[in-house]
Amino acid sequence: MNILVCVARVPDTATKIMVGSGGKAIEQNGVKYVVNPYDEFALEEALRLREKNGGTVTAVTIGTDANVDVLRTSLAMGVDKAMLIKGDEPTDSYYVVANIAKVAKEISPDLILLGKQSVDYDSLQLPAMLGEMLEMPSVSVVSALTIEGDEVKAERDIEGGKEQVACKLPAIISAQKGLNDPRYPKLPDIMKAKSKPIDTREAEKTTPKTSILAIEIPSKARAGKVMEATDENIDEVVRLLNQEAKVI
Amino acid sequence: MIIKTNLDEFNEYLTDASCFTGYSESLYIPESKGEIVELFKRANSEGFSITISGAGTGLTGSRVPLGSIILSMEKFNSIKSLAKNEKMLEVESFVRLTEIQDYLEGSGLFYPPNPTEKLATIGGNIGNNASGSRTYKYGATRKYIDFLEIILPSGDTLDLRRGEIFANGWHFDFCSNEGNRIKFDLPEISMPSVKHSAGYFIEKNMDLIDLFIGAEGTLGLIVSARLKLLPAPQEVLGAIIFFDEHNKMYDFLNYVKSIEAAISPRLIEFFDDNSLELLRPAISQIPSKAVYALWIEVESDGEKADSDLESIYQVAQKFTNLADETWLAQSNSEHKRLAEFRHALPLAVYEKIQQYKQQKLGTDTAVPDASLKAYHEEMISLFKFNELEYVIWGHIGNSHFHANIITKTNEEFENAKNIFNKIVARAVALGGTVSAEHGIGKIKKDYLKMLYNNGVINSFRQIKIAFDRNSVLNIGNIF
Ligand SMILES: Cc1cc2nc3c(=O)[nH]c(=O)nc-3n(C[C@H](O)[C@H](O)[C@H](O)COP(=O)(O)OP(=O)(O)OC[C@H]3O[C@@H](n4cnc5c(N)ncnc54)[C@H](O)[C@@H]3O)c2cc1C
Repeated sequence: MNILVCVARVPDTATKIMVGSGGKAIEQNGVKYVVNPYDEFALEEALRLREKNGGTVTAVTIGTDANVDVLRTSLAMGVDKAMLIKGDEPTDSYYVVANIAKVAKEISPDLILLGKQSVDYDSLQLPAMLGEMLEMPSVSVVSALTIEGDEVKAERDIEGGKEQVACKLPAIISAQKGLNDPRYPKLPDIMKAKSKPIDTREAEKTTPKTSILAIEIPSKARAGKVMEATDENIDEVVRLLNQEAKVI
Repeated sequence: MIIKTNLDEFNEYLTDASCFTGYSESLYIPESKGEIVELFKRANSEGFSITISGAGTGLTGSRVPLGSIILSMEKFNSIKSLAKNEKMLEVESFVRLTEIQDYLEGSGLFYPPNPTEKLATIGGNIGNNASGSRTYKYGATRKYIDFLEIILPSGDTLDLRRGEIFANGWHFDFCSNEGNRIKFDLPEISMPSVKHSAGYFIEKNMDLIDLFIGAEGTLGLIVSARLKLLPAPQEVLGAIIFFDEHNKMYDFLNYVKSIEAAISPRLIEFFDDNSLELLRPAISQIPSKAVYALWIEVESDGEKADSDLESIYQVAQKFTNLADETWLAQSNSEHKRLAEFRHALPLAVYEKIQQYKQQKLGTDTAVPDASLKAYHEEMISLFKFNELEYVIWGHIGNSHFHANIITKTNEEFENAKNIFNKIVARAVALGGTVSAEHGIGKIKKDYLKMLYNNGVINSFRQIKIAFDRNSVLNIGNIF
């Protein structure tokens, strides 16, 4: 099975974000970049499918030379090939999709995996646009996946519940948290990844369909939560303090 | 001043993270320095006592009131100023470590002491001379305190800069800001030469500021402090290295601590087999063959990072068959993941103890480096022989373990307590300390007696009396 995984380079989620001087982009100085956390689930799923079924996994990213670092991380996790579509830093989803679609047409993967969204611009448009452009079924926000032959069964998180979806390969799957537990890259693999080849090609320019007018930091008002004083709520309060407020 | 006398409104101030619980009739929350001075003066004339409260994350009951009023510093929570050139940060005493960390992010500077509990306040950290994982390279809180603004138990004040007031041999003689003379003698002792936070800091010709650091609030209240900062390293490489054997881990440790080592970590933290077992349900990727793990951090920069990675790997390969399993952290979120691995442990133990409705039995002992391995082996055989469930982790770079015994019944607890006392006594016999970072507070006084004889503890008392004639402040801590 040949799998293409789209990987975005995003600011480290544990980094303090500030607006850059132009007011249309974030200040890049001092910011560390990482693989988009949702793309890690996509990478892990691709690697598990390859371990089960054989084939190759190709990671692709679009952006400047700086993007090579997320490809190195993908290689350290275990992908077979890494591809940089070199061009402007992407802010318009259409530009990203058009370029990825071009690559996909060339290598005809059985499966395209990507995160449900990238945590920088949060456009959430890629999986659906890619499906449209490639005329493939696209299943988004997937938290469990099984593939037998060319039969795909996916479980999706929907408001207040789960939805089971079936389709055939080739298909596009966007990964939600919970799909798997992404492996920690191991030290020797990280070192080996540094010398692996990166297939680099030029991005095709597109006319932007959207443009960013301004970005700003949200105000820090804390949303309070009121809960009834019942014994049943104690566990929930402890969970919220632990997982959401992260104070215990 | 905000005053609360309805117990329901301040119940949580009666205890701390040790679960030791006291009693009090009122909570005072001052809003200015003048209010505190006034209150201290009234306490002297009217004969009541006061216990200072920080964030309550202490592990020795040191902020727990025994009938005194509680004075919470929570309104003194602002970061006053950052002097970038001098590398100094002025903070009020209730600023939390996490706030300092956030504030300094991106500034190119950092505050080196790194106690695990980030909700603790700087006032509490000074009270205990807290230390943390980076203490291995950088030392404890003490080293980073340049100035303290203090209110003495009498209501007098003291602005104390490091390097200004020294003991003359074993004798102090100085005046408060108000001109009142304070003099006393120091016991002529030498403290254990390990990481140490039990009883007052005592040294011949010492700086007065050092007496207040680690005094558990018994000699004065800290209003604000000036902290020394250091330039932040460009890059930090974090790694968790797994070991398949006890001796190999010690060979690795001795090697990286030696001067000729190819890597010199700023932090070395240890996890034993039971720690890994406790974490496995939540962290499935811990290799099944691992019996121990060490978390290390190496400071680096963009250019050196690759060769430093190479060195970490080579050193790991020399000492463990599990070198290929080494986890690495370079980005902040990866570092956070390793830190969470570490922080999850005390919490997992805490949950177990709660589940069995038992008290925490955790050592805070440190021993001289040369005795560490034998001390560790002695602990393991004592626990095994007595069939006790235990978990050992800690700041192994500083030869400082937290050995925790998990008991299920009261009977088991009594037995465990005996073993625990033996382990503490053994640390002292080896030239170590009973408490390396948590302090004595109200629940570890018996251990202080293992370390010092009555004469020494009496001279501690005389120091206390020189500052606090009427027994007003933080009564019940240390002695
Ligand atoms: C999960 C966990 C991990 C921990 N890890 C570490 C660690 O790595 N290293 C370490 O050293 N400790 C550690 N601790 C213990 C604790 O966090 C420290 O002892 C810390 O210094 C306490 O700070 P606090 O603000 O909570 O103080 P409190 O517990 O409120 O008070 C501690 C003492 O300081 C005094 N005090 C507080 N404010 C002032 C002031 N303004 N002036 C004078 N005295 C004052 C109090 O009276 C009391 O005697 C840990 C605790 C937990 C629960």
